[in-house]
Amino acid sequence: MKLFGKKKSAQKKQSNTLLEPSNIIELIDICNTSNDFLHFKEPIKKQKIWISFYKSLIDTEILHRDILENIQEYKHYSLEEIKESIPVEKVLTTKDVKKMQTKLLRGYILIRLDEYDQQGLLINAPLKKTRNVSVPEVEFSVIGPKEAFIESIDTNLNLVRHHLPIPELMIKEVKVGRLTKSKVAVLYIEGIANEENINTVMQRVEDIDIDHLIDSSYITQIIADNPKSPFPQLLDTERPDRTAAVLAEGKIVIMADGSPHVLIAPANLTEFFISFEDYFLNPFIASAFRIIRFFSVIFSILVTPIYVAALTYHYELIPKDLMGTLITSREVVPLPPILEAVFLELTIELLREAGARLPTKVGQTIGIVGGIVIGTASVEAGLTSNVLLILIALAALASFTTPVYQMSNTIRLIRFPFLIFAYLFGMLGVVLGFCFLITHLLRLSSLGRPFLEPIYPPRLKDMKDAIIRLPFSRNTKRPVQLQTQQTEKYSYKKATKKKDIDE
Amino acid sequence: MGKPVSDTLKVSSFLVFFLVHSVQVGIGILSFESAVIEYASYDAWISVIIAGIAVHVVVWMCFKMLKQDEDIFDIHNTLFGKYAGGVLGFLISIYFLILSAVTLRLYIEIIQVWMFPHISVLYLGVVFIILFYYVINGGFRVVAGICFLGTVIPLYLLLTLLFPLEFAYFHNLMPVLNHSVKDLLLSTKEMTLSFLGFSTLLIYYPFIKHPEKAHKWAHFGVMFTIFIYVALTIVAFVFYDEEQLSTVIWPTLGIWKIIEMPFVERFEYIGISSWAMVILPNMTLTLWAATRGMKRIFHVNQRKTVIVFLLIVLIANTLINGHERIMKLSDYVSRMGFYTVFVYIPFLFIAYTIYQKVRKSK
Amino acid sequence: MRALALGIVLSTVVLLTAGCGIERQIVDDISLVTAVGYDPAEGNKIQGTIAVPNFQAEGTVMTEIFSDTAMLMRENSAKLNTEANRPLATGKLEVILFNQELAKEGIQKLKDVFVRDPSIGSRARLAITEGPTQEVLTRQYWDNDAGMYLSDMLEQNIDRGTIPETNLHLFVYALYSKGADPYLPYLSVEDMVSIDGIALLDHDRYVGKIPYEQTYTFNSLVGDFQNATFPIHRGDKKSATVSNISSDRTIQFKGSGKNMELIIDVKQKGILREYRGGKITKKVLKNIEESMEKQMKKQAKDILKKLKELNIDPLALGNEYHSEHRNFSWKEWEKMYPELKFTPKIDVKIMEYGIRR
Repeated sequence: MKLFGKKKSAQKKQSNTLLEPSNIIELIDICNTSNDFLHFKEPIKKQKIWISFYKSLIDTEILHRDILENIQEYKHYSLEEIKESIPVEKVLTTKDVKKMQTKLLRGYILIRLDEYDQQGLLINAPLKKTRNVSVPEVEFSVIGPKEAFIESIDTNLNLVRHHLPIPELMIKEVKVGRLTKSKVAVLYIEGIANEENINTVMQRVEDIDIDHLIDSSYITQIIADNPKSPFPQLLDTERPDRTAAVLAEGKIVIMADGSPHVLIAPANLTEFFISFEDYFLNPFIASAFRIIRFFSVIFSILVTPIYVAALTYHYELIPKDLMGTLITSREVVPLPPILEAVFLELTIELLREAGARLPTKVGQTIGIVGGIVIGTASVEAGLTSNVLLILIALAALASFTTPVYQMSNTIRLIRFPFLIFAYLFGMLGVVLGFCFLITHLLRLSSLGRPFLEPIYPPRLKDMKDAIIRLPFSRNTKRPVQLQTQQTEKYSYKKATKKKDIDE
Repeated sequence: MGKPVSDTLKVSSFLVFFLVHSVQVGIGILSFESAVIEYASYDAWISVIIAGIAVHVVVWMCFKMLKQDEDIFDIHNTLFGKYAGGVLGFLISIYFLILSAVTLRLYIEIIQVWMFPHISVLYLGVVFIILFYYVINGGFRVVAGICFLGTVIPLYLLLTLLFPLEFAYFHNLMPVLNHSVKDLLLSTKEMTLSFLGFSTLLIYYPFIKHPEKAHKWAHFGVMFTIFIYVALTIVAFVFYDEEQLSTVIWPTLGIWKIIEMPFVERFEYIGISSWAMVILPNMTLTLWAATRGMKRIFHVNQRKTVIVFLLIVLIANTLINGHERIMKLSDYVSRMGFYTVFVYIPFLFIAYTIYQKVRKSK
Repeated sequence: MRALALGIVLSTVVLLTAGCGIERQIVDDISLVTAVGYDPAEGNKIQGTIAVPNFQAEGTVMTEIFSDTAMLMRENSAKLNTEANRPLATGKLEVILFNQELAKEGIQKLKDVFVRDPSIGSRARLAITEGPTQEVLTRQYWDNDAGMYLSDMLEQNIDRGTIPETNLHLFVYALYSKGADPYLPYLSVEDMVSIDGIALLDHDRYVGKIPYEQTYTFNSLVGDFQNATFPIHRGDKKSATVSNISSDRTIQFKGSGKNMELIIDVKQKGILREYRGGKITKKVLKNIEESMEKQMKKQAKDILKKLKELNIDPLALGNEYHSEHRNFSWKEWEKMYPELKFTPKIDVKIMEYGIRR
């Protein structure tokens, strides 16, 4: 973060825009060079007023219905009078040219009484084209709410506020991006969220220096504690319900305008394997699924490296009943196990990438057809053994159980170093790779809080909602990791109070 | 007194359990059975317990000596002055350095004998060294994390002790206590070597959050080590014949050889590989302690000493070759460790207690 | 900077692999030796024969046999390697066979190679063959590899209680143990290769065998087993077959010194599998039990007599005695053993007799 701090002081002096007008005439001239800028004289009764705006940014309906119609009723002698007659809430008079420019670019209409008048009236009439709130696509759930964030920050804030109608929900807005000037909002619940965490997030967000900020994932990459790590250190979600839930837990949410994903900080490793649907299910079932997910992740990372290690070095390990099938299927394969595995892994990656880039319908076909055809064909052609084909297909399937997309990408990639280690040192290599992995995870932090928590530092209290989920009545405390100001969610005694038989 | 350690770098007191335990269970556990049976034969499991009790006493001494934010170097300074204390501290650091070098060499030897006879020490050593550097560079918090995970993850290996019971001859253990006290004590001396390493406690003590509370956890750690050693000793004793056991160099690995599961026919390869995870806390904690000592005495940058020490470990490893030489070296180090733990620390304890009494009376 | 340094270090590591790489043993590029047999050859040499499965695409297995003579075992395998198209790998060795002629001279020196090599599993099975091992290994076992077939054969017979559990580890254990002598399965080579009793060894020398008919009783004296079948011959009308559900053996030492009496108490529970005499009544059952006890007792006495004559202790009685007596010396035991009085006690209970009376 220091890096950004240093740059900032030097660049603050520079202007943020390239074209800076010194007076109103220049401003109009500059703006006029763009063809979507309109600057014209509008005759109203015996008077003429000057109206200027970017037609691509304003809602002409507001201009005609609310502004012009109201102005035309009688003659005005000052801007103040016009202001009073317009039923729009965001209206201001100013002489500040810079302000006029930024406001024009935000969808305001500039009204002046004379072409050379320094003072102007700015009326808010922005045109916003956003889609409707729709069903979540990345974090789909079978049961539970089915709304997802959209690209408009106002709608998103509305969705969150709707879940948390309390005055303690604080929203701090920051403008980020030299060119995009994107609105970034930091959300937290006053009195629950840890002050230190809030300050860290605010400071890091304010320190961001970038020309364009299109999506919230930019923020993750910039403010993460270790941007070089392949692991995402901030959780992203598109679900308003999850956002509200984590806010109530004492976490901090970062929203960026134009992004349908919000960021949750601080995060820990286990959360990346939690689907929000787990909370809609019975805790025992949810816990079982979580455990399956954890094992599938481990399986997905380790199975091909173990195959490579066993076949390259440790033939003793292979059960004798499997030996025949393995050898006969391998015998026609000219490639050593490592190349065989890398080849097939890459094929799966290709299929996935192709499936993701192509339109949905074609993509699905590619996935199924490609999987079957390429798989069987490569076995027939003697490029891979069918045992490996099954293992890799299972590993790919297992990696897709990870509910967070960012994490599932990491898991898919992380097996390649493991493969190389397995090739170099056999089983020992797999363990060494694992050692490197856990060391890396131990070194990671999210907002300065340990990333591997509650596994290390071991906190049994937080384990209640990590690898397994206990019932709500047992989960009455907020996570220790967050160091919240109010640790109790609700009364444990009340939640676990037991009545006697027949009472 | 050195600069007090900031609170953010400290670890919870109950992690001392893992810090103490993980550094005790290392390479020795793979081969101690054939050494310990030498004198007391099938009664040697009693020696294991006696050795554990001796370690308990030393741990108790360590905790009695140390006060908040203090380590062995502070004690050296107050007792022997700056120079003599510095020399002693330096020796302690070097002891840990040699301990870690030997541990790594012994592990690489196992890899060479059991898995890859052709592997070069340098090649494997470099990978290990990079891993150790990566861990130690993360600071004590990460080293403690490795100690924790390096204990918890390989715990599944305890289950492997159930498999050889299929071929157990429990009557081997009978009759109990059929040996003289002298034999038992001789075996105890052999056994103490497997408990070494916990003296790193004297160095990481200031990094513990509530050191008073850590005392009991340290004892629990030693107890858990004793439990594992006793369990393993008993399994080895019922599995092997006495004479057979003395011919086997790595009895624990021999026990793994008999394990056959539906999906894995020969477990020892998995066991040996997993052992890298058990060695890791051992290596990193002792190396961290060694470099920390250097920092406390000479005020040098720890990051740089780590690199230097790791290179020393690597070079030492490539220079020692052949089972006989490795065993000889390991014998020397064991003896050195024995005297450090069971002679030097008690001596220090007595000297320091007297010093404090005298100062108080003044 | 640091990333660059790390990159350099890592690439050197990878480059180093080319130089001092580890020996790769890719599973389909090696010849897996599944069985090995040793026969005596001229001039203090041994003839080693190995069986290597060659897996065919359609699922069948051909067995490749290599055979050569040499003085040392490893010398032999090096020689055999010169005949093979792929390097021989012993990690999957399942069966080790010794010709009884060779075993008579002692196999202590031969076993060294198997316990020194870390790649050989402790569960490899040893056996002694009546004829040349080469003949056993060169047999056709339908679509199976000789080694795998023999290993499965031994294993299922151990499970079925035909022979007591044996493997390399147990063999070495008994070899080193002062109070026990090893025993191995005994294979005969006739029309079929079959288990034809149990070979008894004095330390490491083959000295005699328990015939197939007595294996059930021998098994019950050695330890606990189940699922084996015992035929009771009482003339054509009354003969029956019983298979056991459980068999418990306890050993008691009574008296002391020269008057020491050893009681081997065997308690068995069984199921009646076959009866020629018609309807089964309580009396009939009792009768069958009694005659089974009688027959087993007779066999047990024969076996114990034989063991005493050969002065061997495959039942590990020495260890048993040792564990119960403090101030014990092996010399004393060795003197005592030939004069021990054995008393086998057999108790059979038939629990069930199938689905008809």
